[in-house]
Amino acid sequence: MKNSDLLKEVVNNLEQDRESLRIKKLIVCVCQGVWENDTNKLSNLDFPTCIEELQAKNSTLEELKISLYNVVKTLNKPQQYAAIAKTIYSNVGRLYSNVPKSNQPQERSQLNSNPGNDPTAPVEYATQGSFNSQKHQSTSPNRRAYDKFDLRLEVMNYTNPLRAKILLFSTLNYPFDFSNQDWSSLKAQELDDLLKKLFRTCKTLTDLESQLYNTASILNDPDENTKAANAIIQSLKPFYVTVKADGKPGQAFVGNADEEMITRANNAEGLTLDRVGGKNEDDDNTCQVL
Amino acid sequence: MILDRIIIKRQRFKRIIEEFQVKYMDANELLGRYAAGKKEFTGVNLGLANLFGADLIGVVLIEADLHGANLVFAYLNRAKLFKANLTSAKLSGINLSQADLRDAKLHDADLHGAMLQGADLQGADISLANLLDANLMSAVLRNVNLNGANLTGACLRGANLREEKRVYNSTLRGAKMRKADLRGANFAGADLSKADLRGANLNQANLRGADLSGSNLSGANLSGVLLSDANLNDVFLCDANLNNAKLERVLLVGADLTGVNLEGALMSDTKLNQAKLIKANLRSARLNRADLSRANLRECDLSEADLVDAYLARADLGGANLTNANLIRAELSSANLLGANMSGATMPDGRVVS
Repeated sequence: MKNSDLLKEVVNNLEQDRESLRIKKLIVCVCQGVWENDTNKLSNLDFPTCIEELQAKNSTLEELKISLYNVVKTLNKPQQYAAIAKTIYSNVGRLYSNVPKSNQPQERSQLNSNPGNDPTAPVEYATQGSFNSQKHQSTSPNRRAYDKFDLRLEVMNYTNPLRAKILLFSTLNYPFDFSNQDWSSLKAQELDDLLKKLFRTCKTLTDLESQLYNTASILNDPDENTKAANAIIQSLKPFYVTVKADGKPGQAFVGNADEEMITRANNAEGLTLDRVGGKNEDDDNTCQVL
Repeated sequence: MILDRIIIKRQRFKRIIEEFQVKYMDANELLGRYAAGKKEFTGVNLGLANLFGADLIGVVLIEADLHGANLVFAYLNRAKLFKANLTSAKLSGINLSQADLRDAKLHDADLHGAMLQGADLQGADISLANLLDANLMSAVLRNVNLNGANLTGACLRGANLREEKRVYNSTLRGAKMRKADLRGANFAGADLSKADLRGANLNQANLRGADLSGSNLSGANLSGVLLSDANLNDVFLCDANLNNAKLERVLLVGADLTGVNLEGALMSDTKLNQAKLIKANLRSARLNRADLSRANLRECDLSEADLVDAYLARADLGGANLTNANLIRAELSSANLLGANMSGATMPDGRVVS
């Protein structure tokens, strides 16, 4: 496909998208650092200009992903905008020359043959285009298999294992108070079991972050505990994968996304969760909280 | 002259007093002196001291007595604890990364979730210590005593437990190492008899000549592991993964290998008499000269396997898959081959089954 045809197709996809206004809003924010709430202004903007500006600001696919991600995480509806960002990324990303051309049709065929409500199907796509799985996004089109050894290793590499355990225990149960009873309870549980439990409890990355940071702030030595929280979040991040709901490129997260849907891939550990975000509610109050 | 002698005597007395004060200082004094820039506390007596969360990075506590001391969450990175007595000390969450703990006494110490990466523990007594979820990555553990220690969930990735001159070897008899991360660790010549290694990850580990007799390795990952000359008599290896492992001359007498994956494993000259290999995957395994007498090989997959000169006296191969296996000169006369698939197999006399 010629570049101009591809651009047309991308523009068309974005224009046809039910969330085209939000898409523009996010692109404007990424390019100009302004959260534009004026619907008229947004309507007057044309997609080719927006895309051109977006590409000019982000010379590589990686840069595009990071720019989008950095804005999304500052919004007060990050889940919904992660979905929007995903749409932009999966469409505009096609215009970057470093994306193997064969990837796009392959993605499409995978998606079209896999309905969005299939618990196992869209994970490959999700991993490739996910904002949350930064590590593996550009390296492998396959889902990162859950490996409790690698996860534990990563946590241990960046924090004190006992600190991590206390934080996890306190998040899952009640604040650890260093009593003999609490020590006994903690010794009866292993680090990877606690990680697994918390992962199963927190449905989204945002949920995980807020729970861990909240707990860290109420424990003694909040600095050390926040460090542990960061290490746990970074280690678990690749397993929070955002996926499309309807399986059609260009309409990600909006088709039937009235509620957050969590599907579980039945891999060996049953731990790779596919997160479908995107509450289709009015977002007038959405603002950047930089 | 008399005055000189008095001065010398006074100085000696002062020194003795100082030494006494240093030796029997309390925790606050130690912390105060350390904060003032002093790091040398060799031989100090701080038994049962409370040093919770203390920052003592790089402190020199050679031969210090810290038995029963509370050092939970303390920072002792790169500390010198050579021959220190830390028996029954509370060391949960302590940071001892790159510390010198050679010949230290850590018997019965609580090292729950401790950080010991890169620490030198050569010759240390860590028997019956609790190392649950501890970080021992790349630690030097040669000639250590870890008998009965709890290493459940611990990470010993790349740790060195290799025997020295075939005399000084690490002992981990009866150690609890369930779900431990032992990838790439070197256990050559170590004594791991009766250890609990269920679900442990030993991928690419070196266990050459190790004693694993009576240990439980059920569900463990031993893919690509080096086990040559090891003793695995009476071991439990049910459902373990030994894909492409090297097991030459290994003793596996009476071992339970039900459902084990030994695909492509090198197993020449192994002793597998009376071993249970029911439903095992031995595809393309090299079992030349292996002793499989009285072994239970029911329904196991031996397709493409090499069994040249193998000894299969009274072995039970009922329902086994021997497709394209090489059985040249193998002793099969008393084996049970009822229901076995022999198509394409080369029989002991060189005849190929059509």
